[in-house]
Amino acid sequence: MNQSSTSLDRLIVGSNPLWGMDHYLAERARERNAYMTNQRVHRVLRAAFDSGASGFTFTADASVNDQLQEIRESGDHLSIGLYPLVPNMQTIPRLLAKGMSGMISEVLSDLSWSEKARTLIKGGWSVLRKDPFSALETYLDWEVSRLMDAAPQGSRLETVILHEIITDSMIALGADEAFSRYVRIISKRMGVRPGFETRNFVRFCEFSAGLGYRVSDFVVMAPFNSSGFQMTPTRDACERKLESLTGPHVVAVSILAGGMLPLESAVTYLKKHKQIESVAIGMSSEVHAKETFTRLSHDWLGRPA
Amino acid sequence: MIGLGGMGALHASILGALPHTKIAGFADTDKRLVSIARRLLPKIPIFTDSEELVDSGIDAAFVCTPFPTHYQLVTSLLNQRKVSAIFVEKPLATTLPEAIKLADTAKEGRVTTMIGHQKRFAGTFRRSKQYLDAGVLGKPLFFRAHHFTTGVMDRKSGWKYEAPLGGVTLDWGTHSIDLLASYFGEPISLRARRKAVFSSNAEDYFEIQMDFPGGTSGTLTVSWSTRGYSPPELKISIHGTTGALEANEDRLTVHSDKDVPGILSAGVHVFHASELNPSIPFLIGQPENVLQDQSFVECIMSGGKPTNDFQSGVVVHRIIDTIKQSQLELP
Repeated sequence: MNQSSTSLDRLIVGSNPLWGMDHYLAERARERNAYMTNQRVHRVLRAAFDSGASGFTFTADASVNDQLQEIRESGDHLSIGLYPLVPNMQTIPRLLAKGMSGMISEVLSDLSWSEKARTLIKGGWSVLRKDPFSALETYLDWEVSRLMDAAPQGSRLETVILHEIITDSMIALGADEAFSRYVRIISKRMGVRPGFETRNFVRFCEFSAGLGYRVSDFVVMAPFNSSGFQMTPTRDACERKLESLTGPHVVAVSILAGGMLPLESAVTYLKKHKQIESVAIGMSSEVHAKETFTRLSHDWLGRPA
Repeated sequence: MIGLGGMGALHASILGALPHTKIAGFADTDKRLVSIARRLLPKIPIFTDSEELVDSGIDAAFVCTPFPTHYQLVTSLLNQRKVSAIFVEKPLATTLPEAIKLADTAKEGRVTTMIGHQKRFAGTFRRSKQYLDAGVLGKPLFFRAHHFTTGVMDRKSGWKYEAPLGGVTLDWGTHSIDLLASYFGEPISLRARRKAVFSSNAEDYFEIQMDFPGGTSGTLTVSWSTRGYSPPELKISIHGTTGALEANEDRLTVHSDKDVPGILSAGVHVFHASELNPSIPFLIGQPENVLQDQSFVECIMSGGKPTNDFQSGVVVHRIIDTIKQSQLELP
């Protein structure tokens, strides 16, 4: 597995619009669900990478792996940085529907190749009771391994990002050990920088500092935009915290507030807040992908047209 | 927090992050889950018995278990007389007599109560209620509402999808029923139909015609077996003598014939949900999840009465009764 780079990909393609997710307009998500196909997804990704994007963030999921596998088998050489979010999107609804025990059973039943998994299955619940973090480690191994098996040749695993629901729950419930164990698993076992997605940037910074970490130890993905959309508790508070940091690996999401802000505002915003290292932005059409990443590449990063 | 499932985790996370609140403990009967949770959350006491949790000393209880357990758990909490506030995820109970009993007992015990009908707190629906109450629409005459999702698209097994407790009404339908009742009051007449689409003996669809005091009437249609509704949509259109509004989770559009001073000017206004929510201290789940829990805590601290209390749940259950008493039409 490739070691992560010292710096992040500046322009990262977000996957939400490709798979019918939209934080701003549920009706737009419904429309996209109706017309996005694997072929369309491939074309949008190709257009984005041809226009300056070099990273891809997505929720680790079987359907995403299938898409990546198709790209790999097409011979399309895309040297892209991978920024997967865990757990996968099917897991969260299953977690909510079946409860944690059901989810754990489901993951473990799929781990026939791993000695560790066999041990866990054999040990059953008694093993989980003693050390649920082993189950976490095994799950992460499984999720990342199947992703890298499917990913296009030349792909780089840059980080593994914990989904906002889990990150923010850990913060709210003071799950210090779980947080630290996750950091250790990702950094030591997988050799990449741990990532966290959060909609509570200020609290995240305070929580991780309280445990002795610096934000620059991580990749932090959080909403930043000129309208304050999803910036909690306020835009001002998030920006003040951002400005107080040194050398963070902050990836801004929702930079267009779900498409409600013009691209010019995003460029102005990014130029003003230099602690934002990267931006992850998704779109569902090739034309939009080309226009967006070309403009960001030129207007924000100063790359030649 | 009683219940270590998804909703319990969500409410606990919200409450853990809010000022003035602290998670005093969890309870769940699943011993394996409790064992794992104790390792993941060593700072929080976790019990296998809700009575032990209450005995450890708590101010308020959240009941976030499968709804067939609500009546027994809430009755136990009320009988213990040790908590001053109880929140229950929807629906309040499985039957109208259970709902009435819980509401009456809570009232006698002066317990602050809330049911998890969080749509009331969503920006677009909350603002719609404000405009209705302020008379922007004049006298509301008629409405049309639907709540659709692409959730059950084949036959599923389990109690949620089989008679007597299964079906969309008790699982999904209470949100829209409660919202309409919050707008217009308790209906004076109802006519309902329910249909199975994929399920064998439970409703995947219902429609209900409602007449409210004051002359407002309309139809609510609910289904979890509709194509093209992922994510789901709850949409309400209301027409009155001086205006109209249409609201879903994303957007509120209001047509006002007249100026309503201090509220809204005449004309057409479109609001996105994100413009209509106040600043939130910690965002997890949807904004309305946080606003609902915040409201409950504020009511406890101030002695106020939540609008979505157990009594509102009785109104919902009366409407559910009508739906459940209608004949199930099979495909």
